[in-house]
Amino acid sequence: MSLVVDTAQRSRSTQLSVRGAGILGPLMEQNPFAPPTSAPPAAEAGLVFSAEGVEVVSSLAKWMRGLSVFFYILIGLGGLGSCGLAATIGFDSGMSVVVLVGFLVGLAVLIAATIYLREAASGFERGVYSDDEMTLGAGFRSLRIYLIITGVLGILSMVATLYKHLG
Amino acid sequence: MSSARIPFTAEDKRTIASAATWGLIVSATSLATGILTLLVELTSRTGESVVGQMVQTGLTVVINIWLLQASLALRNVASDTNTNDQGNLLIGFRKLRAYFMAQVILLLIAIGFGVLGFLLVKIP
Repeated sequence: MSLVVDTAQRSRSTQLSVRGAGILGPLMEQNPFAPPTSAPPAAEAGLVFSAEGVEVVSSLAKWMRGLSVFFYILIGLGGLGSCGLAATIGFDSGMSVVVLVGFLVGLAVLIAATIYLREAASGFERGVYSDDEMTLGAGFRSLRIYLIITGVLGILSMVATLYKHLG
Repeated sequence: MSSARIPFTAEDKRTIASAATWGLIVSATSLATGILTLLVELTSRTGESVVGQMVQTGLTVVINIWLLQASLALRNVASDTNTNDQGNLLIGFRKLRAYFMAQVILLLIAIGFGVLGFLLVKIP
């Protein structure tokens, strides 16, 4: 880690000194302790993934997107189902409205989960292809939100199972 | 990826640790629900439904163990004491890939069975 950070700092300080060289050019030329005027190559600074790492993450992103396609199909079917439900039960009683609103909230949650799953896949892929830990971090942020949604649904499912069998 | 630390920011590390914790919660709740349902089936019914539930619980256990392993590896990435960030990240990504891949394959199989069942019912 220290090598990576040191290289990045060196790169930044070199860039600053290069910018300053425009003003203090004549003085810098005479200074034997002045830093070199050419910056090191960008590849030296930061994270570099191996071919195997790139292949694993690329494949992971594909499967995540594949799962999101299933979720989109489910959302479409759910949307059609909610239209059918509204047409069948109508909005006469309070219970039917509650059922319909619950159905729509469920769909909205599924849409959010799907969007974050796709964002996580894109973040991981872009982060690995560009060797950038910031983009990778953005992928993890989206994955965290997806896992929070599935976690809350998992807890509710467990409570429902307990209630159904033991309640 | 070589065995080395990755210069994640403190905020990114917190995010990764939080994602790992939620991954553990998802896998633990799924495992608990699967095992509980199997126990209920075992005590109340016999025959095909029990076998079906056993297969379902077995698949749930395998898939969620992958998520559990991915979460533990990601937790190591976020940890300050562990120095093999890149190795742990690769393990985490591999296990996550297995988790999502199994979900997609199982969904495909379930849809296949659904279509087959529908055709068997509709076509005499």
